Amino acid sequence: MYRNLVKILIVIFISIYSVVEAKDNCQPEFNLAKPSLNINTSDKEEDKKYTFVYFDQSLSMQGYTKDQPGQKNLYTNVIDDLQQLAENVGEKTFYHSFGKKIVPIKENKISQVITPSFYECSGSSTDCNNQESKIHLPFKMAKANPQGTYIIVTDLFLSSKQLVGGTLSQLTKPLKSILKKGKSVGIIGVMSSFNGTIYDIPTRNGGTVSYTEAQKRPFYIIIIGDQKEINQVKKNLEEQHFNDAEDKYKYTLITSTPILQNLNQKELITENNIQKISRAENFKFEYTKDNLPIYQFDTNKKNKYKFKVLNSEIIVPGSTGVSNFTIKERLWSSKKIKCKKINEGDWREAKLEDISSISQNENELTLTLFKNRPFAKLFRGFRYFYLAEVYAEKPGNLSEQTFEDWSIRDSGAEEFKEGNPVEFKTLNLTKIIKILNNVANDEFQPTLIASIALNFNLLK
Amino acid sequence: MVNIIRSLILSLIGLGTLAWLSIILISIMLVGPDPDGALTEFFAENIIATTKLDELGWNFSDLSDGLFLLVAHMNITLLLFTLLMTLGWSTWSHYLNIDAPGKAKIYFIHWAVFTGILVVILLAIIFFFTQTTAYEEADFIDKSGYAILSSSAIFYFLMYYVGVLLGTARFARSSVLLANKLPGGF
Amino acid sequence: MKNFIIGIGGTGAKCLEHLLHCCSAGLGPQNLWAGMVDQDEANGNVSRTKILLSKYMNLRNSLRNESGHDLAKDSNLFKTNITANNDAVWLPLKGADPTLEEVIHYELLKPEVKGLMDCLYDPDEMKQNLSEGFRARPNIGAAAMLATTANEDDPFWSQIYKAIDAARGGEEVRVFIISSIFGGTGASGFPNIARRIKQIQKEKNVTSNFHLGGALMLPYFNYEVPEENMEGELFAKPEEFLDQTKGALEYYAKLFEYDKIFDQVYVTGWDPLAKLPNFKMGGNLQNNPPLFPELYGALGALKFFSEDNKINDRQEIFHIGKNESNDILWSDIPNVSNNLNSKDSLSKLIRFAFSYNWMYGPALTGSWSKIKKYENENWFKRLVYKNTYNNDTKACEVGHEHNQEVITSMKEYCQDVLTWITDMQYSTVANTDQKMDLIVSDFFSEVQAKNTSTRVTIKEKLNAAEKNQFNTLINDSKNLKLLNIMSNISYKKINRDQKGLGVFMDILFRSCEQ
Repeated sequence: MYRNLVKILIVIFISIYSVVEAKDNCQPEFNLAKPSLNINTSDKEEDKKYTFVYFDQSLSMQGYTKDQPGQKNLYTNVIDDLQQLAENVGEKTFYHSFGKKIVPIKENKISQVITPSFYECSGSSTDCNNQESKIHLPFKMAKANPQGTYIIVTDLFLSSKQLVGGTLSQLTKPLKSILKKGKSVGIIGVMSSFNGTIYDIPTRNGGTVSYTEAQKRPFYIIIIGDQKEINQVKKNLEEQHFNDAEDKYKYTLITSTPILQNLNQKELITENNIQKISRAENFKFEYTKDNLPIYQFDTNKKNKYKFKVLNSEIIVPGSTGVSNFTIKERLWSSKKIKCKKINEGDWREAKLEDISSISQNENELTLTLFKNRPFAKLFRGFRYFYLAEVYAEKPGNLSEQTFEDWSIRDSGAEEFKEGNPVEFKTLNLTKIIKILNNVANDEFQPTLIASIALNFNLLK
Repeated sequence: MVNIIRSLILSLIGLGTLAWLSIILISIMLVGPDPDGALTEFFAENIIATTKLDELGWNFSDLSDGLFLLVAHMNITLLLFTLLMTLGWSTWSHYLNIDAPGKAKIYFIHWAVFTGILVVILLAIIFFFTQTTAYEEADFIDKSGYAILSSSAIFYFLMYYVGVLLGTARFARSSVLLANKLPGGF
Repeated sequence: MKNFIIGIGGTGAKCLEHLLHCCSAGLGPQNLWAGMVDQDEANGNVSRTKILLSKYMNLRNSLRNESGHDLAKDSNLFKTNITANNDAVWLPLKGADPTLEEVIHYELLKPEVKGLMDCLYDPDEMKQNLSEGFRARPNIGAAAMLATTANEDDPFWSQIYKAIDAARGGEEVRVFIISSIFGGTGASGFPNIARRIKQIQKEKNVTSNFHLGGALMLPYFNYEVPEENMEGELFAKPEEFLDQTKGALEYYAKLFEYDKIFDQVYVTGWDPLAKLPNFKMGGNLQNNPPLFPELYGALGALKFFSEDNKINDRQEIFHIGKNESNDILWSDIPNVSNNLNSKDSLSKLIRFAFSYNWMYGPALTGSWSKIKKYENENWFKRLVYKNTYNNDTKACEVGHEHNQEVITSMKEYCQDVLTWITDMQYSTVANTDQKMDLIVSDFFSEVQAKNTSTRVTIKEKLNAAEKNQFNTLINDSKNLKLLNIMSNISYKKINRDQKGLGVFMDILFRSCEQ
C-alpha cells in the first residue's frame, strides 16, 4: 500500500509538472535573430601588444616646437607625455619618424621630437625625410601587424593630389584591412601654438606657397587599434592636457563598428525603456530563454508607446554614430485572447511592413511603436504579438562635422592665407575624414542592436 | 379608445409593408447566411475593411459570425425602436389638442420634431453598434460599410413614415406630410 | 299618429318656444302641427316664438330635402316635422281695436240682456280695447271667445277639423293645449278652446283615436308694477294671480269631475316665483324671458305625444315639480319617453350649438376661396367636400349661396339655442335664493337684465381660453372637449341616406353626445 501511494504521488507530480511545463501558446512560433556583435573584441591575453609611435618629420611640423608668445604650446606638452601614454597601452613601445620613409627613433632620441632640430635636414631633398608626409606608411605598418596599437602624430596637411588615385588607395587599402579586423582609428585634433612656416599651401594656379604668420595651428594624433586603447589614450590626454577652457581639441573615432553593444545579450532592456507601460492593465515583463524581453499588457486604441534607449548605451562614444536604423518587424494576431485557449494554429501573421518608426536625437534612440499602424487601425478583441528587431543600418558622419571648422579646401587655401590668419586650418581635413569614414562605412555590417516583443490584448 | 386601436392597427399594417424585409434580414443574420451566398459576398466586399483584415492575415469567413450577430442585433433594435415611435406617434396624435378647424397643420412642427428625434436616434443606434466599443466586430466595418449601414436609417425612416401616414388620427393628418392626401373615408 | 299643439297666450307661446328647442334636440314626435292663440297679436313672446317657429321649419325643410341636403330619417336633429299655418297665431277677435261691447253687439241686445251684461262687466271692461289681449281678465276673454265662431273655413280651426277627421279615419290624433291658469288669454282660452274642440269631436261622432291633453301653468313668475300712469288702465296685477288661480282651480276641479274634456292634464307651478324685471301691459314690449317652468310645460306636451304614452279612458292629471332644495339640477328635468333622455338630448343640442357657432360654422362661412384652406382636413373632406361637390362643374359648392344660406341659418339657430338656455338659466333664478347652473355660460355670453330686447348677448368670437372652457359647458356631466368633438366628427360613421350639408350637421350633432 505504501508503494502504491508513492507511485500515485509520483504520477500526480509528473502530471502537474507536465501541465506546468506544457507548451504555452501565448506567443507564436518564430526564429529570433542572433546578435552579431561580440562584446569582448579584445585579443586573447596571450597575444603581446606593442605600441608603435610615428612622428611626422615634415618641415611644416617644426613650427609646433617653437613657442609663440601669447599662445599655449600643447604640442610639446602632449608629445612629452605621449611616450608615457604609449607605454601604458602596450607592453613595448617603438618610436619612429616618418616623412618620405619610416625611420625608427631610438628611445634616447625621442625627446628631440619636440625640438626644432628634429625637423631639419642638412642633406639633399632626396635624402631628407622632412620634405613630405607619406601618412600611408604607418597605416601600412598597422595593416601588416593589426595586433599593435599605432600612434601617429602629424599635421595631416595633405593636398588633394595626395587624396586621389593610387595615392589615396595607399591610404584606404590598409585602412580597410585594419577596420575589417575590428580595429578602429581614433583622431585627436589639438589646437596648439605654432611659430614657423607652413609649406605646400596650394595656390590657384596649381603651385604652392608658404605661410609664416600663423600663430596657431592644429596637429593630430591618430591612434589605430582597439577602441579600448584608443579611448584610454584619449582619456589620458584629456585629463592631463585639455583641462583649460581655452584648450581646443576635437576627437573622432573611425570604426566599422560604431555600435557599442547588443542590449539583449546582457538583458539591459527593462520595462522602463517604454514609459508608462508598467501602468497598463495586466502588465508583465519577462525575458525568454533567448534573451528576448516581452512586454505583456492590455491596452486600448488610444494608447501610444515609445521604446527608448540612450545613445550612450548603443553608440561608441566619439564614433561616427549611426545615420540610419532599420526595424525588422513582425506582427501576429489571434482571435482568442486568453493564452490557455490559444492553439498553435490560432496565430495569423500580418502582411504588414511598416508598423513602427525609429528616430534618433542627440541623446537617445526612439522606437515609436505602431506609429505607422496605430492601435486605432487594429481590431479590438484580438491578441497581438509584435516582434521588433532594431538594426543599425548605416554609420553616420558626425566626425566630418566635428572637424569642419578646422578644414580648408585646396581651392580656398590661397585666399585663406592671404587673409593673414592667425589660426591656420588643416588642408582637406574634412575630405580626409570623409575618406576614412567611407572606408569604415564600406566595412560596416548592419548590426542588431536590440530585439523586443509586445504581447498585448487590444481592448475597448 | 376604439379609434386609437384602429390607428394602431393601421400603423402596424403600414409598418408591415416594409418590416417584413427587416424581419427576414434579421432571421438570416441570426441563423447565419450562406457562406457562399450573395449576402456574405456583399458584406465581404462592401461592409468589411477587407484590406485591413487581409493585412492582418485574416479573411472574412473567420470573423463573419460575430459581425452578422452585430447586424442582427442592430436591426432588431432599429425595428423595435421604429415600431415604438410609430405606435407612439399614432397614439399621441389622438391626444393632440386639435380642437378646431385649421389647427391640425400647426402640429406639423410637433411631427417634424418627433420625426427629427426619430432620425437622430436611428443614426445614434447605428453609430452605437458600428462605431463604439459595444461590439468588437464593429472594428471590421470600414467607412464605406458604415455609410451603407447608416443608410439603413433611410429604410427604417420610410417604414416609420408609412406607419404614421396610415396610423395618424384622421383629424391630425394635416400634421403629417402628405397624409392629408389620403381619402377622407380612410 | 298626428299631433297638434296649441299654445294659448303669452305663456303658451313661451312654452312653445321651449318645445321647439326640445324638438330640434330630438325629443319631439315624428310630426307636429303648431299653432298659437293670442289676442295680443304683437305680443313680444308670441312674435319671438313665431320667428323661432319659422326658423325651425325653414331650417328643417332645408336639411330634410332628399334632393338637396338631407339629415335622413334616422337623425334626431330637427327630428320633428313641425308644420303651421302661414300665420301661426289665431286671433279670436279680428279687426282693428275690437271691444267687448262690439263683439257682443251690445246695442242690439234686449234690455234685460243688456242689464245682465251690465251686472257682469264694468263699463271699462266693456269698452276696453282688446287688440293687445284681455289684460288678465278671463271673464272678458271667455266672453270674447265664446262669441266667435269655430268656423271650418278659418285656417286655425280647419286644422282642428282635419285632425278630428283623421281620427275618424282611424288615425290616432293627439291635441295638446298649453296656457297659464292665470292671466287673460290663457286663462280664458284654455277651457273654452278645449270645450270647443270636444264639441267638434261630438258633432263629428268621433269617439276613439282622438286624445286631448293640456298643460296648465300655475303662477310661476311675478313682476313689479310701476305706480305712475297706471290709473284707469286695465292690466294684469301679479297679486291677483294667486286668487285667480285659486278660483280657476276650483272651476277646473268641478269641470274635470263632471265633464271629461281632457285625457291628460299636466299641471305645474313654481315657488318662489321668478322675478321678472320689466312690466309691460302688452304688445311687442311684453317680451318676457324664457323660464324653467315653461320647459316643464313643453316636456309635458312632448310626453303626451310620446308613443310610450298609453292614453286610457280614465282622465289623468299629472303634476311636475323639482327637488326641494334651492338648486335646479339636470335631474329636475324629466324624461319624455323610455328611450329618450332629456338631459342628454338637451346637452347634445347645447354642445352642438356651441361648436357649430364658434368652431365649424365660421369655417364653413364665406366663399370657396376662404373655405378651401380646410379642404385637406379630414372632417371637411369626408363630411363637406364630398357632399357639396358638383360633378358637372367639378367644383365644391359649399361657398355657393344656396349652401351658405343653410350654413348661416343654422348659425343663427345655434345662437338662438345658446341665448335661450342662457336667458332661461339667468332669468329663472335672478333676484331669488334659487340657483341654476345647468350650464356655464358666463364665458360666452353677457346678460344685461334691464335690456328687454336683448337681455343676453352671445359673444361673436371666443379666444382660446374661452374655447377651452367648452369642456365645462354642461354641469353635472363627464364633459366633452372640443378635441373629442373633432375626433368624433372624423370617425363617426356616415349614414348613407344623408346628403349634402345634412351629413356634416348630423355627424356634428351626434359627435356632441357624451
